[in-house]
Amino acid sequence: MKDPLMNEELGNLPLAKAPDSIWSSIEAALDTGLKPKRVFRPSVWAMVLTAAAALGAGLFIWYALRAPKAAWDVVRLEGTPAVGSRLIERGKIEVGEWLQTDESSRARIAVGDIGTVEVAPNTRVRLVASRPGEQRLRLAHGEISASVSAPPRLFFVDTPASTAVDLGCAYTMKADGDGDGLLRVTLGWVALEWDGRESLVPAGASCRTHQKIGPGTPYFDDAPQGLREALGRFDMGAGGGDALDTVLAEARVRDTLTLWHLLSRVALPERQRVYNRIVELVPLPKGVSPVKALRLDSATLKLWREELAWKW
Amino acid sequence: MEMVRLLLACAAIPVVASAAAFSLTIGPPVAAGTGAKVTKTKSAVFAVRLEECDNLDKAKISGTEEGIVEGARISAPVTLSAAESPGVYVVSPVSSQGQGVWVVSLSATCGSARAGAIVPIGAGIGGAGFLRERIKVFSHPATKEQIDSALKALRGQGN
Repeated sequence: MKDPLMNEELGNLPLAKAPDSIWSSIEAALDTGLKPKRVFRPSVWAMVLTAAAALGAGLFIWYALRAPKAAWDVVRLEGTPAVGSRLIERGKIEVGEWLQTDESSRARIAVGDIGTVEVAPNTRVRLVASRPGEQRLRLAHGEISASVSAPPRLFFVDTPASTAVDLGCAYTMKADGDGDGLLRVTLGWVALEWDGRESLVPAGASCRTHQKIGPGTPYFDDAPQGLREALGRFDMGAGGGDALDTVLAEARVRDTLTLWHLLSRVALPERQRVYNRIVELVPLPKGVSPVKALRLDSATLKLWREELAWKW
Repeated sequence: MEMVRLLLACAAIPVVASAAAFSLTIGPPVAAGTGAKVTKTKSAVFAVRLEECDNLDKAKISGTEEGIVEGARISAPVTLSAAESPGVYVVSPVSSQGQGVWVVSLSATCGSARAGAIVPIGAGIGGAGFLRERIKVFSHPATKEQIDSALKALRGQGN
């Protein structure tokens, strides 16, 4: 310190003597001969081995505890179905894998614990997802028959031109590689959805799918042949007004399933004709407003469909 | 006295009208909707809805399947499973209807009102599992004679 004033002040401070106990404790410490602490310095090799052992243990624990990759059981029914390059007698198909059957092969897939899918000959299907809330297959081409007992909207089948959404049902789905196909429902309901277009297909009814159009208009399997043919032309946009005329003329009470779907697939002048024909076949139920129905109010249409279903 | 009779008659009208309105509607199983309860009844052959019942909580419905198989008269309870919508049930027979002719006889109450129905069922009967054209609906449970008559009519038609 170079401050002369400070030095002077410090020099004026009184001296304080250290207590005797300090000296005795120092002497005692010297007497015991405190040795300096040893510092452990492992060798490099020891550190490497320790790290390797820890890594190995970690990998083992991770492997043992990891969630198993989602997979469904597959059983051969006939011929030589294959998952990837593996011929299957009893095996599994994992998410991302394809199951392929040739012309003489069939297989059955267990959809988790909610149902089964039978895979017909000349069919190619892929397991897309298997997780809570979504069990999904992709049907590239061929035919499957699904029987599912689960809450609605848990099981899905994608095709090139639609997604079949299970609503608690059993059905058969055919598709070719381009997207043309046929859904036939034998139990419950299936919703066919694609690019904002939806068809609700109940048991006893079928629905075609079309490339670039998606789901067609559902019809009951016992509908008059003239109605089914005209409906096919209508869905492809090739029937003009004549196709709709035929559908309306040949529709029975049960074919209000078809007419109900047509309400949202025609322009307003035709929609009034469709509406009139439905009401002619089945009187408008209580709670269904004609104005709202023609405006395609979704709640009104839902109520109307639910009431019409009692007549199918 | 005439006035008393008139008042009594007027008082009875609402009860009578209510009893007459209560009825059963029969439809395919899909009419019961898409709820989880319905998906578990894959053996259902038709759905039934209680109509014009103000107090569905206290309404009751039961049913039996009645058949004639190789000349023998058979009767057994059916399973009625409640659907998601109040007053709607799906009906599942217990017996196999592979042989003979069969109907389901339904009996329902809503307060003091009663209703019944006879619904022909069985393998080969249409795609819906029941014969809509032959359904009979009553304002009371079907009698044994009515059930026997319905079965004989089915047998006579070769069903």
